[in-house]
Amino acid sequence: MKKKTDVRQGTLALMVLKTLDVLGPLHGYGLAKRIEQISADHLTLNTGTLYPLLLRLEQEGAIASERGPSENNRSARFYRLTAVGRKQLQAETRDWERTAALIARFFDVKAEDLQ
Amino acid sequence: MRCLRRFLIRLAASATGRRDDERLREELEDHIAFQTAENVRAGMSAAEARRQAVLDVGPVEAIKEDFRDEKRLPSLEHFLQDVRIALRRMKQAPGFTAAAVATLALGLGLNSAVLGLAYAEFLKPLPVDDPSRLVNVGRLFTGDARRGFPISYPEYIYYRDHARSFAHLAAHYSTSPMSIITPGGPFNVMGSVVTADYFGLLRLQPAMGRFFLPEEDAVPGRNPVVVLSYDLWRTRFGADGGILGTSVRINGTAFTVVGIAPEGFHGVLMGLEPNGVWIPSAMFAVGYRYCNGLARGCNVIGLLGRLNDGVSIQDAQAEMNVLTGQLQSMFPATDNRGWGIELRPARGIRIDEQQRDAPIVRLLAGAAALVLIIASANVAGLMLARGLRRRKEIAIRLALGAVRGRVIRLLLVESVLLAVVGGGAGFLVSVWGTGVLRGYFGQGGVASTLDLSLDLRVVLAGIAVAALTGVVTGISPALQSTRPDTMGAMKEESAGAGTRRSRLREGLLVLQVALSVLLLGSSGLLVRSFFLLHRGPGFDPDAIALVRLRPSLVGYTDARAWAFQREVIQRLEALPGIAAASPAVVAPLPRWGRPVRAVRLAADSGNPSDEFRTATTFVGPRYFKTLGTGLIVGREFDDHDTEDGPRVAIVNEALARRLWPKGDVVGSHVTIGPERYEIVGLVKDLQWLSAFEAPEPIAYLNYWQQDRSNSWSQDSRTHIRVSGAAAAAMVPEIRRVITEIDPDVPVSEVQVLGRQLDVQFAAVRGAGTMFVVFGGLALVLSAIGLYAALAFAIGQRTREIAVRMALGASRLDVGRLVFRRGSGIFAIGAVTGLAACLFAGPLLAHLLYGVSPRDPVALLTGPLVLGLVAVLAIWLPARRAMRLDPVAALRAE
Repeated sequence: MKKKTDVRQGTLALMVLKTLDVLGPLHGYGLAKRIEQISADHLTLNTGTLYPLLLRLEQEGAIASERGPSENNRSARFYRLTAVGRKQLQAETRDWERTAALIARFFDVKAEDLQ
Repeated sequence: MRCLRRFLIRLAASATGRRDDERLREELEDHIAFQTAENVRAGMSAAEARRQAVLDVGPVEAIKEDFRDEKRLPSLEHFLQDVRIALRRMKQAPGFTAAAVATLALGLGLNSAVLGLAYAEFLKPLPVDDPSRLVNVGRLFTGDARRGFPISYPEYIYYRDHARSFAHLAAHYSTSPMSIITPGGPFNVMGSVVTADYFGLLRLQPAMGRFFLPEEDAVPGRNPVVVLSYDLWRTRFGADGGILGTSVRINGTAFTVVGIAPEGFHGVLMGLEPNGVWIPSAMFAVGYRYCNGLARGCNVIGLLGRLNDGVSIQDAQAEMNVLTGQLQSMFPATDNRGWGIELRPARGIRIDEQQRDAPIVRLLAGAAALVLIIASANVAGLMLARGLRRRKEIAIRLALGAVRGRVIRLLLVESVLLAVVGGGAGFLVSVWGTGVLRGYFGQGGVASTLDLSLDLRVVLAGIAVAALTGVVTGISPALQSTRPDTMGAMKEESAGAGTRRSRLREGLLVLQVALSVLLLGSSGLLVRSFFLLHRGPGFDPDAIALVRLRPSLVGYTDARAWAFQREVIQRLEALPGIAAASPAVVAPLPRWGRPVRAVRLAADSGNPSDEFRTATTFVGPRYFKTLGTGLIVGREFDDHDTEDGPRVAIVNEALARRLWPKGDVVGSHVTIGPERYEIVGLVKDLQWLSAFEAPEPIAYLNYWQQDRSNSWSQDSRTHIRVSGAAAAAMVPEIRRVITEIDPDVPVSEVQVLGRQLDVQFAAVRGAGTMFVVFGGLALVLSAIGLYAALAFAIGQRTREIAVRMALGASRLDVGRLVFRRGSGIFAIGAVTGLAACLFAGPLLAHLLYGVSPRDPVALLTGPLVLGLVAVLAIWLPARRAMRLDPVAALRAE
């Protein structure tokens, strides 16, 4: 079995929002599988983290949900991004890019650059 | 703020939590179903596929729980769970619950009644806008710390013009008797003389019209304008909308009504008769005439100030001290040294009355607290006993892994809940208690502005006391019953004698008995004092009515004032139902009417040692007939003793013993001051100053032979003896007769003498009544406590007693065993309590009349009754033990 990473604190919400943004409405199980797939199976999702997070995001208004038939004709709860969620996604994306860029500069730094 | 918001969100989540749980469960179910389908597709058997899926998801309940803890308030939910359990337990043991709640209700109710009284007397702000910035300014005698004395108008002007600490500084004289002519006839009301900024300072808005303009308060006597109270306008003027601008007569002067004060405003002195009328200080003479209210040295006004924003009362005090020093050096003759000026927050009743009542209220609070302690000890004893019965349940909880802290919390929640329910029931008790207190402290029946109505702060304080009581009551039983002795408890061993648990219970009982004895002893002292007081005066005070006439307030000349007095007495004596009427300068009330003057008195014996200072007072013809005491020998003053005739005097026994030890009083002569008097009568010693001081020598001089230019003696008190019916019934008729003669003369203090005595001793009576209630309650509670504890102990020791009996102990031995234990507890408690009485007695001394604080009869009566009740409380369980059938008892085990 290859080594899998746990999701870093706070980043799962971003992944959920982005996945819903790209793929449109998904049910919980599908969302979990998609995230694992996108991470090329480097991530394994803990259901005990995912579902409470979905509930919290919904209570915060970032996503909305309704029940509907799934691909194999089971009934399931489908989540979709709301306008609030989209705005939150944009903001978090910006934050994340800024942080990543900042960290990247630290990784790139060499002693002579600071002379 | 964020913190609060998060708390609120969590609180809301707690309320809606069940839906979230449901949702999570549903989602996890779905997830498992999807995973199972996937696993089946991957080739697993159906059962194995589901097993793997469930394993994958992990512990569902734990997920839900984590989510719950994150989103909600777990401690609140645990607490609510505890409350539910506690409520269920209370329902399961209705007898215990009722006993505990009733006990705590009595204890807590009495406390909140006393708390309400203390709040109203010492802390309640004036019912006006932003009362916290208001201060009373009064004179303080530095020698003996008597405070709250009035100052003079010119001093006020100096302070007003120079002090910068105040946004407003107003002067008022709020106890001015006024006779106002209303459409229904003359009506006597307490009036107030105020400066123009009085209403502005209080930030009041008139219900109608306006308040005083500054120019109306500028020139003495120029602007007779008046503001009426809302109540007076409504009840005496029929809420007449056209009253503004009309004229009303007050103390004989015509005033123009300019405004009606807002509803519910009765002046700034709480606890006194409400003000019905306000006139500007420029009209001072209508409200006060014994000296010129606007002149230096005439100290009658009180000051009320509103502090500027940002100025503390200390800053203002410092400034006023400087100004007072300046005044004293400018006017050394009138504004003497030996006093200072003191600022106090305008709260509660008048400061001198606060000083008078403070020790009594402190005593009442102490006694109420004792009752609460007794009640708590009682309930704690009950809970301890119950804790023993619950040992098994608690042990199981502990054995199943409950944390001890959690079990203690559960037990505490139970006791706090009991206390809070008790506090709620205690509210009813406090309503009753407040009624009793109002009867005594609210000026005894005269309309009073002492407001004892329920205040939110008092309620909150009451709830806090109740919760605290719950914790205090519950803590030791809770600690005791959760002591980790799981195995023993589950085996349900009965607790033998001498364990720590029963020692704690016995300790609580000793405490109860001791405190009850303390309360009963103290109430004995107060009750005895109260009865002696009622026997005090030596005449029947309920047959005598008193009227104080104030002709000087309408500016009568002395001749006219006297003619008026004579006519009043003549007309009253002509009334059917009135036996006699007589004037006197003071009323024969203990401590109230100090005999007027002490003068040098010499008998004709020529012996210089017969010359000494004695008290004299002026009384009219038939005075002793009016009081109903009569004379020992000689005659009363009569109408032949004219103003210019020979001077006559009547002496009391104390004076006669001193000057004429051999008798022959009547016909002798004494010299008092420049005049020589013939003694015409001898009377018994009346208790003047205090019902219990040694009688003081007094010479009674003829009312009509005194210097009549003295306005104090013009405004005398007329004593009226009513024959047959109670004097109270005649009061309206008396009023009517007087107002027929001159409706403008203010008639104040029309009351039955007995009623005035009651008012004067309201504090003793109030404290006495409350102490009797407290003491009785303590007696009942500790008797019940004793009984319950012994009965319970016997229940616990059934086996031991049965074994003793089986081994040959007689029934008497068993009875003795129980009795010895019960009486031991009682004896220790009683001795401790009596010792405490001896220490506490001196604290009561200022309320005692004619009783020593160590008076054995008073101290021992209550405890003896308690002893008798205790014998009964011990005897009942002892009898039960004696009737025990050893065979049946041992079989039952």
